Amino acid sequence: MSGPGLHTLSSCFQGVLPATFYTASADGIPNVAYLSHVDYVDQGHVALSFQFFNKSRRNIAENPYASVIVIDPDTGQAWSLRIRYLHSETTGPVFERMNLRIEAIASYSGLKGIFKLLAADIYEVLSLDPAPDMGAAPTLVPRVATAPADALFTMHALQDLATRMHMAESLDQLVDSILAGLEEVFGFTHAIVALTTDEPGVLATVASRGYPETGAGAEARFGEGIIGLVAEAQKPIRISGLFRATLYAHAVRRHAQQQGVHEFARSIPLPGLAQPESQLGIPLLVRGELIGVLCIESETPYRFHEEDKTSIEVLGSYLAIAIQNMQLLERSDSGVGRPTRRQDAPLRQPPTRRPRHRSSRPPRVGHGRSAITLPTSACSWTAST
Amino acid sequence: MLNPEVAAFLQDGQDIRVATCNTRLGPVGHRVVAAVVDPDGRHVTAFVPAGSASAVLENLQDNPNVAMSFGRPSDDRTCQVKGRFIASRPATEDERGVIEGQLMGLGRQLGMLAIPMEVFSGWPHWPAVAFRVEVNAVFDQTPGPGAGAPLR
Repeated sequence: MSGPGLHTLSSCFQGVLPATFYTASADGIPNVAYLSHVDYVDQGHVALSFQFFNKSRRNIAENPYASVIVIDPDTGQAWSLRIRYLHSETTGPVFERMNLRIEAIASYSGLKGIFKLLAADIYEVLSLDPAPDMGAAPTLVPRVATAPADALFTMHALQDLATRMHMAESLDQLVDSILAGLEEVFGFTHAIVALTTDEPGVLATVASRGYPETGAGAEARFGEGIIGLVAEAQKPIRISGLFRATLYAHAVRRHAQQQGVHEFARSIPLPGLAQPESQLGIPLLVRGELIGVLCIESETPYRFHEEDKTSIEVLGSYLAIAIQNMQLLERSDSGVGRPTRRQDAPLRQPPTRRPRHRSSRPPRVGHGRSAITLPTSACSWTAST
Repeated sequence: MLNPEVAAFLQDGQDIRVATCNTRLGPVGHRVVAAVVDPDGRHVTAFVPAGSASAVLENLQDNPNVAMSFGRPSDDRTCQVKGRFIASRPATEDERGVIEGQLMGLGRQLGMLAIPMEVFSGWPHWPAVAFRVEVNAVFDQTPGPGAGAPLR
């Protein structure tokens, strides 16, 4: 493969600016289409989202050679990838990663089951070249140039957050200090921690930062919205350019209506910001057991880069253990005694405290455009120990 | 071929791409900076930045089949025009105003999506080459289960 390594183009694969896909039939008639997702597989391969049977798909069956143009939202530089179709995947890590992102967008748009991934089409990348008429903006600097500084910054940032974990004396203090640290160290101003409850398939928010109301006690159900999808899949989800992605999904919805489809799933409101553009959800896991989800979001279209995702995943692995330890400690202090390994189940109950936000009206998960009001019961539980 | 409503849409400052095909059946994509529809609705003139025009022309001289996609970023309405290449020539100074007018329209669309125009400041639009295309078919390419249906 010619040109720079595919791994240097991770920004191009976030869907902030749409990719275009060029195919040709066996008799040489070209076709061009927008793609909702192009994903990095490895140094020599990309995966393209297959969502609808269309002309592109028919062309690929006749002629496996194609090209795709992706755009780096950091610099404006477009890259032309000459590719060859290899096979389609309907299971496995690549499919699951792409599917989770599409499902999250679909759940926000009431399009579950319609806006879906049929397959991740795997292509070999034959060449990679800068598009001559879509060059980098002269005033924008590629992020790769700052990579060594970023690595040092990340190590210091994680060190800071680890110290906060060690110093925390209660679950409240632990989650609050981590959310504060995410803002002070990384500049992530909007974040939510939701933990599993004693009700199967339900998480409850225990802390949030950056929102007008704390939302503590607000519920998220497994499979719904980014928090619920992360919980269900126990895998991280990163979405960039969410507004554009939901517009794309709404275009699908309108088209489906024109085709006679009138029954849609319930639209799941976005978890916090009225107009988030980027979201990153990380499962909090201890020995494979889900204890909660950390979700951060931003109004910037491409806020969470690859290195941010990696950093937050590392943070999440430590935070999960710290939260579980604190839950054990608080239960022990309240006289329940130290659970044995056989008694792991109670650890999945809600934290041993009341939600901190207790106003006369029910808490809200979102504000403005996407706000929903939760039933009072969502915030009235108190963990029994 | 192109009804007045579709013709107006094509000339309203969309994200336009052109696909051509090389002799080895390899499809290639390029950016189009503006398009003008003839009053008869049967021909479209597409303006391609001069830096990539030679690559487009090389393919079209071997294989005159061409596809052009017109996408509106704010709602993803998309049309695809298919046709045959007729001729090319340098764009005139008069046409420069048309190109810049359509690009301003596209810029407004992208602004609605919070995408700063600075990102595209490295994308040239002038000088440009005009490619005249005879329209064979036009399709509704708006994403969804009905994408690809012919437009009349």
